[in-house]
Amino acid sequence: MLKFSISTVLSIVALTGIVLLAQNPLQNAPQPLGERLPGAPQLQQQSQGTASISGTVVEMGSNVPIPGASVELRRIDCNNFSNPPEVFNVKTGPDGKFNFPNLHAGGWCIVATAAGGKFTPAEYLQRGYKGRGVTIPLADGEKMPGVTLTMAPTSAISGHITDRDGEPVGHARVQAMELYYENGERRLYILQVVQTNDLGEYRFYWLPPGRYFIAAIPDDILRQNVAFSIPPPGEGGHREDQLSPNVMRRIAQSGEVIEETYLPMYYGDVTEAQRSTPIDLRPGTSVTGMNISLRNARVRSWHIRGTAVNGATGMPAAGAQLRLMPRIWTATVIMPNVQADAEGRFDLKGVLPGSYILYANQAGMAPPGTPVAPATPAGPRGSPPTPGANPPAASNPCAPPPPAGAPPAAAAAGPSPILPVAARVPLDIGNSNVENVSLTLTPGYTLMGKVAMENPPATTDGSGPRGMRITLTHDPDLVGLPGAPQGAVQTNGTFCLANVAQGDYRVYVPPLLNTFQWGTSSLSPLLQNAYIKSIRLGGVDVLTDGLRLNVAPQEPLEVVIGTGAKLSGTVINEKRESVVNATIALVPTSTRARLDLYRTTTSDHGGRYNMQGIPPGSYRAFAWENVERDAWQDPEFLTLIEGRGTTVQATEGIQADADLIVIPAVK
Amino acid sequence: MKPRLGIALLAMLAQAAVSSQPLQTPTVPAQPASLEGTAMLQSNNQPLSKVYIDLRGTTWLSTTTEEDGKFYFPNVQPGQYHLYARREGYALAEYGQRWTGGPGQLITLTAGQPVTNVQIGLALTAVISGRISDLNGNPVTGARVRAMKTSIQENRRTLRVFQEAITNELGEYRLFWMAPGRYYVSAIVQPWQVNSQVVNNPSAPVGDTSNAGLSTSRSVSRPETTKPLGTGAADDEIYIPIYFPRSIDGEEGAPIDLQPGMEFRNVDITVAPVRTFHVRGRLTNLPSPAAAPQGGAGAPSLPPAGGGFGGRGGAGGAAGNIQVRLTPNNWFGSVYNASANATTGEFDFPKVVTGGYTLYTFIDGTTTRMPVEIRNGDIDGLTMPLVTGVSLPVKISLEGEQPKNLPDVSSLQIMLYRDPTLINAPAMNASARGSAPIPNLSPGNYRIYVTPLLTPITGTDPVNPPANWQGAYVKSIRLDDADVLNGGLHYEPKPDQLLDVVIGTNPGILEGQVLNDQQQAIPSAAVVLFAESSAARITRTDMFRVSSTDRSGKFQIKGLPPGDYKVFAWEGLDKDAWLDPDFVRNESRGQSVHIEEGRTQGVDVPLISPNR
Repeated sequence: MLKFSISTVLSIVALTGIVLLAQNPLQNAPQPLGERLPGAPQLQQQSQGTASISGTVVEMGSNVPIPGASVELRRIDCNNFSNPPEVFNVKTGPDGKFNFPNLHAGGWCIVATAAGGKFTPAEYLQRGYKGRGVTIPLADGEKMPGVTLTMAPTSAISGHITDRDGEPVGHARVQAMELYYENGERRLYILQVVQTNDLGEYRFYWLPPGRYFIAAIPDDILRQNVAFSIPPPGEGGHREDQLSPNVMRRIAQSGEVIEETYLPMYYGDVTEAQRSTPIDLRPGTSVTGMNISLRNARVRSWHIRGTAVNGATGMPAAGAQLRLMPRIWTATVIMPNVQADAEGRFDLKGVLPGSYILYANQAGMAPPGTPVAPATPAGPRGSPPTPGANPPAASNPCAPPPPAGAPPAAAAAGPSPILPVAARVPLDIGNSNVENVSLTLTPGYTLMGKVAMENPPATTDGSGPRGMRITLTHDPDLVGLPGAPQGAVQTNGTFCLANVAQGDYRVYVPPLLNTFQWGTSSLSPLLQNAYIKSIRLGGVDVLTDGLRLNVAPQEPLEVVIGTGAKLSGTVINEKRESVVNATIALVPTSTRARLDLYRTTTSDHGGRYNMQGIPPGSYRAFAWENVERDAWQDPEFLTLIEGRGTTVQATEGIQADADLIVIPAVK
Repeated sequence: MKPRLGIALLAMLAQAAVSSQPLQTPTVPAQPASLEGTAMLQSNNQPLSKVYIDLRGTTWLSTTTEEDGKFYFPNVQPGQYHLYARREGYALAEYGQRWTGGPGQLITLTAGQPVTNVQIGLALTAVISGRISDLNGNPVTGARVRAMKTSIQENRRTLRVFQEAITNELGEYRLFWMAPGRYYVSAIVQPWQVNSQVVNNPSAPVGDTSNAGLSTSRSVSRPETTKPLGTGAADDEIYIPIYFPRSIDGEEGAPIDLQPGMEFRNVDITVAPVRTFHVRGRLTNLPSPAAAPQGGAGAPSLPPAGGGFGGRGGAGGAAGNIQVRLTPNNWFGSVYNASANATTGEFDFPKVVTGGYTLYTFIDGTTTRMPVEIRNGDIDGLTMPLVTGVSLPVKISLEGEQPKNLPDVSSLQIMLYRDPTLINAPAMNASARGSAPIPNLSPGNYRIYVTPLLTPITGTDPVNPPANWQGAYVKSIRLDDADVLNGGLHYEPKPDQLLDVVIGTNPGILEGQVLNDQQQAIPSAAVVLFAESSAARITRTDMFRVSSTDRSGKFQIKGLPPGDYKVFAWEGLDKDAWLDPDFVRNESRGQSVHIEEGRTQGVDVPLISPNR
């Protein structure tokens, strides 16, 4: 921003201001009770309905009504994030009340939000601010009064960061993290990032109630722009950051060069996240004095030097990007990185002792004289590939073969494009520099395969796999790595991923088998009771062992989709009352490392639950009043409650029933 | 209104010039050069620890001081070096500087001759703090507070953002590690941005990313219903920056002069949205649809300006519309864009703030504009007939023989800028390379540039010609009998016109020394050279030179176009001070000098010191 001219800044402000104002009709002064805001309803409806929902938005604890809160009503299940057919918005009146008249029959999901971040969003009968609400079923003419939406006031955490001399550290990056379970691990994800000021002070605010972990790491004094992220509650979260090591260099009088870098330091002045002291935030509080000393955060660091060669051209891999990947996942990845010079030489600094993969890649280039089409694969985490990200057709091994008689593509296209190349080398680093590392970057592999449906339904028109994708993620899936490839499954079930670099991957098959995401995807009717039965590459069971590509795959990747089992029932408490919005999880009795076998859902307004697409096998079914999401992936957690589950047998194509006794929330 | 499903990806890729630092291969000359010294607090000469010392020249080396403030470079390639020192909480210092931000001195390192006892002093930085509140006195969270310094944008005095801070939930902000100097502060309320907010780290030198590298971020957002992220302003209101203490007029901002170590507290600003109005009207004399260029969407459109405006009526914009823009006559207002219907010419700017503007459009290379004054109400029924441009022939010639190694003059580019400049209007209004005619020129006043010899200034530093053009300069530009080079272009189409550009290759030299009241020569003083005539000072950017005195208080400036100059020498002033027209106007201690072709002119320049 230093270089931004004021006029540029102002015009951006003006433009974005106008756009946002046009898109946000919700920013008026408090409206009279139930008055419709401009822009709602979004869709023209044929006729008004006869049902209604009304209620009050209140503050947690005090139950004081909250005026001016936005209440949104969507005609869709609360766990479904597709576009609803109808959406209404109102603001609460001075008494915190809202009213939605003239509704059609159907399932409605309701949520209240407040401008800014003073309150967490609230959903109906929600359990904890991260939980989803319960869908309200409405029949024609039905009135649903007295819906109370309870918003928790947010809280603040503040403290000081000091260095080894006890002096304040300015522009330390301080992050507030939350625990999530993913891939069977407890992971600390970043929710907020703030910076200390010149007094070493930091302050998180707009934090929803919950358990937080705090860590600090000094930002690079030479970095012009520094991170700052305070998402309003309910908006963001689950953030990972890749940073470059911040290397301090000192030349001793003798000429010896000593380099040091910083480890993230957690509250409690420890460098291991698991030993950190968590901070439990109650609603509407301000916790002060959460100080962290960085006196033990500085550690001696080392260099890795060497040369990178492009194996496809035999030339130095000029400009190749080198990254030193830790082998263990963390949300804050300190990744030494550098670009090779014109001779392919590289010098990575800020390296700490440990076990790593040294990863190098060089982008592909079009042959001289053709438009540049960088052959970068799609971004991580299932984001769609960017347009123009495919390599030129001439180099695309996934392109259909030219028709017979056509001239060879290379001859027609002139010089061949330079393929993207990559290399990976495991490295164990001790307390010394590593010299003369030699890397040969080679083009990636072509991974072809097929998705087959077992027992395709008689009605199928052969379009079974339509809309399915094959997504590879790095294992571990660290932020800051080049995107892993993904591709669409063709209507005949085949797929082809071009230029898959050497490495360890996990394979996902959205929408049936997904990477971590909030909420569920909509499945076509054909796939609703389907599951991924197997993924194999030759003799390798990919679902169990992952995909390790060290050599070019000789066989296709074979994905088999099977017909699952269905399970439904009611969640009840010890008084045999049905329990609304309970969390149900199916955990395989054995093979618990197979996270693709786990299933979860919630009970509806009547305590009923339904699951389908369950892989056949034996399960323990659990139901909780309130539980951390995916906590049942944690073996330690399961040990505590194993006896409270119900054994369930899932059989292909069979609908089973099981009423589950809820595990009450710990008060 | 659609729930944000799934994945939000953030990729803030700081693709830094990571490899710009040469690899330090241990090639030790037989007798290396060496340097050692001490970093200290400027005010009391106490040694400072944790100072990052940067030695830059033939090679780049860096180290950090310990408690004794000492730094050692025992093994350096001989050569000339700059020496920089920085520490958090202290202003960036260069060896030989007499004041923060002033010119430094090079250090010459010779093989076998250790340089010792080099002292480099660091000054404390300062703080501006305060609170942003609304009209009811409630704290405003997430307001952006900006510390700004004077700058030149398109030859007009503007403010340049130096540092930003975002208010917390108590409305508090703190701008810190600010180098001493003069600042202005503004605050604006913006819609909350969920992620990837960045604020400046002012201790980082611009353009220096030697220790940076890749940085990436990604996040998975929870699918959420529509979240009211707006500013809370009503439909016919908008937030614009408020300048401390309480003005929407950027010229009325109060300067804040920061001294080392100072905390300037209670810089509190009350923000409130302002009313907006419609500006409606129509363009007439429209080009027939067939005449419109058929490239892209087929719509005549404004070219992308220097920043901010990139829209070409693309997504959502109906094909065939003409983009029109309201650009403020002051530097601090906002720019508004709208589309005019290509058939009827009608346009409507829906939310414009009171002020003086220029309505502006750019079709087929020709600009049309008219003044618009918005007071307290909507404006309806404006009519702006589109102007048809005329082609102006150009001749560029070299005086005398073509020097070897000098590029051909046909590669020079003529650029015409509307005068006065419109902020965020396309900066360049017409251009042609070599002796090609300037197409589609509409009548009016222009500033003329011949790049890369005579180049518009967009910052605080002169833009000097590149090395291969060294020694060449624009000697004259004439249209009919008018001196366009010094007087600007007042264009009125007439028959048989020719824009005649002559390039000279025999520049002059100015050398001299800077003397204080006691007639002592002063090292590390800033020396600035301008065109003497105040009219030419804006256009003759080739006569704007900045230099500094060496250890003996002498300076030399080469490659000067002949002409009348004014030369000033300063110490202890902000670098931006000499950009302030008032300052220059009131400063009688400048020396007039006349530079002749091929001659060296000597001058003694009196030192201007802020302490006297």
